[in-house]
Amino acid sequence: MTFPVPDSTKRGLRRWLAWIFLPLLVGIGLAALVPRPIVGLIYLQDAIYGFTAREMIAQIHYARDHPEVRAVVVVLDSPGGTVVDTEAVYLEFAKLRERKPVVTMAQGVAASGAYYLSVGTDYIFAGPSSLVGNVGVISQLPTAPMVFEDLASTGPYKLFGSARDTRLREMEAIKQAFYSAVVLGRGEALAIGPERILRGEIWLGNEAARFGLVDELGSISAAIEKAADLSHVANYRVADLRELAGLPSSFGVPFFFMTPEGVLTPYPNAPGFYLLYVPPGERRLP
Amino acid sequence: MIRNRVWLALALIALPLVGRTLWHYRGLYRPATPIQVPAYSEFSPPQPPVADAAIELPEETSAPAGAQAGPPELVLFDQSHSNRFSMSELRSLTTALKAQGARIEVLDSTFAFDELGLEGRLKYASSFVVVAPSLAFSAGEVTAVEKFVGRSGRLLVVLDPTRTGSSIDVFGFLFLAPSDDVSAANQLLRSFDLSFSDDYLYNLMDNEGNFRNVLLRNFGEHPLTAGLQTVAFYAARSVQTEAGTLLLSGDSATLSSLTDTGGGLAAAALDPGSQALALGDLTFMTPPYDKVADNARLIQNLAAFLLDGERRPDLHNLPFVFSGPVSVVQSADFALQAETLVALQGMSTTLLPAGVSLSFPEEVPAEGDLLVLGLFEPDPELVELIEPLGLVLPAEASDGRLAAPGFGSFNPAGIGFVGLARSEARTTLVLLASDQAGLISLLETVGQGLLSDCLLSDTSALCQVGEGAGLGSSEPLEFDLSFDETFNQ
Repeated sequence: MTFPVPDSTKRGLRRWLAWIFLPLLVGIGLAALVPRPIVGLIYLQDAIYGFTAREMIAQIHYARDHPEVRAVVVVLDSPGGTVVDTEAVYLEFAKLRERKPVVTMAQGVAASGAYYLSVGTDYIFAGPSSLVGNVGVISQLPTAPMVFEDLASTGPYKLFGSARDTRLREMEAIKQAFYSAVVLGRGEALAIGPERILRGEIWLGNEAARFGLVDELGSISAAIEKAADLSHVANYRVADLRELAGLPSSFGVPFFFMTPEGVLTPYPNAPGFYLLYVPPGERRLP
Repeated sequence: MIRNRVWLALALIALPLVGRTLWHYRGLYRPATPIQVPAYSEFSPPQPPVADAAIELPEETSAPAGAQAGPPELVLFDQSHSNRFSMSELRSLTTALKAQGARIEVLDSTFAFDELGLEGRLKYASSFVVVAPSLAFSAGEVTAVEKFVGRSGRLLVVLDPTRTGSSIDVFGFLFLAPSDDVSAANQLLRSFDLSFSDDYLYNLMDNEGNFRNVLLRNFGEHPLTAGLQTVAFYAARSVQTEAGTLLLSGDSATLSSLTDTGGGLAAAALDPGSQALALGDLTFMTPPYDKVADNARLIQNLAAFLLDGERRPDLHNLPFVFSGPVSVVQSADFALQAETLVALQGMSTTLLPAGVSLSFPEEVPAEGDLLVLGLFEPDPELVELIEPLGLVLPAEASDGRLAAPGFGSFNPAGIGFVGLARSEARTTLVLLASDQAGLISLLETVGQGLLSDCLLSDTSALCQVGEGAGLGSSEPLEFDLSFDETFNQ
């Protein structure tokens, strides 16, 4: 048995459908366009040199240009690397931080140049036994200028770059900039002064936390939560920015020197200025 | 009515949007502080300090500052202990030394094969400079250096933490040097209350371009530090002394790499007798660092220190007891024979490195050093020359014995006497024996400086020169026991 619905009621229902469900559907559709926030991860598990720096900068640019990436966590396991590449990445992080928070997780080693990068972020986590610090510069000094019978140049330092003494003094200027970055980055959290920091020591994570070189001991999860907290996002997604940026899985020229026997050494292939931690037992630079 | 519906529709559209936004986004990110990066343009390589008062460095070719009557003072540089430096690196020091009238001699590894050896060469040197040795000194060498310093010779030992380790090439095989620089130097300095630490000094707060380049502004009272305001050392070992003088010290932030502590650590120290100097750095003497701060003045002061020793040669220095040309004077009853000439020729050759020559004047000259050759028989012409020695010659004694101060009286047979008399005008070395053969033998002994079989004091010696009584006899000598005689080693 059916009850006859008056036409006026049918019109009323259609009207309500039009005015309630359609806007709701439209609202739901539009809401779907609101992106789920992403906490992006940038991994550095190598030395900082041309190839790795380019990859990091590409990921930083991706994070900067994509609004859904609300925060970045840099996961460091690196002994540092070249001065120029470290400074390049450091400055890119500074630009990114104007718009999005960046948190560091010193996973294994955040030494020298890697620590340089970390002080340019908003918050630093370290594992209890991570290796942190090693503030300073290393460089092999050029030989005294000499001339060769079969290799000509147009100036005494054309082949050598600079005098030994000049190189030594340039290292000092680089070191001062590094220390300045540490002071600016760590601010009042620093519990030790230059007479201790500039010794170039490398500390365990818990010591580094006590000295104010890092903010907190923790894990990647803690770093992600902190990044989300700083960027005021919830129910976010965690993504590897390398994948999001679509970086090819290619490899650059190896940074570390490999002996003819195939043994990878902890010192770099090419001479230059380095913010690099070379573990004890091998101090030779090429 | 329509307006209400529109508002409702808009609200319904916004609801999912707001809901989802609030589900994910709880606020806006604001950088906590302005993002600061280092002012890179402000960091420039530090430049070395310059001296407050410029010092005129002498040219190597310039004439000696002080004209000297005798032979130039000799500064002996050790290169015989695998020393890790080259003489050209010390040009600023050697130039300063030459400008002050010194002569430079390098004791290289071949010295072991010549007759003089280290001990022989130290007999005529004014100062001995040891830089970055990596081989140990033998006990004999240490003793020789101790004696040398004891006779007012000046000793300078320079180490540098960048000049360590050494390998020795022996017939094509490389061997690691058995001793390091600190051990070798400390072995030499032990008796002078000086020692180096196996470290380097550093200062992270106030340095000369690098933490290991320390600025030294605290100076001990000594002519070596005259005119100094700031000295820059380029990697320096620390030096300790108990009773000596710490000459160049850093500030409270100058630390030792050995302990990472310190404050006021010294990189140069002088022994209590102001004869031995330990310097912890070599690099400050090498270009371009020799021009930084007051380093040039310190190098000048170093040169003066090495030449300022009041060297007092005694019989231990034989035959190098003269300070200028020597006139040979013999008694009338002593005839020059071929053997005598050979012996004199040998002595002349030995004296040559010291810049001393022999001559044979007709008469005793009024000035200049003398070598007097005679017999125990009194020679009226020589009495005046022998008199200062206080000898009682056999002819003057009732028992026919010879009496020498410090040695008592004894039968002169088979004995040679060596006496050294000094006055402001001249040095006189007297050789006496009972016969001509004995005198020739004595001349040979003295000429070669081989006095190990002689009874020796600073100014006189008794040597066995032939058969007879005396030293080789069973007849005892009557020594004055108050005298502290010494057997020369």
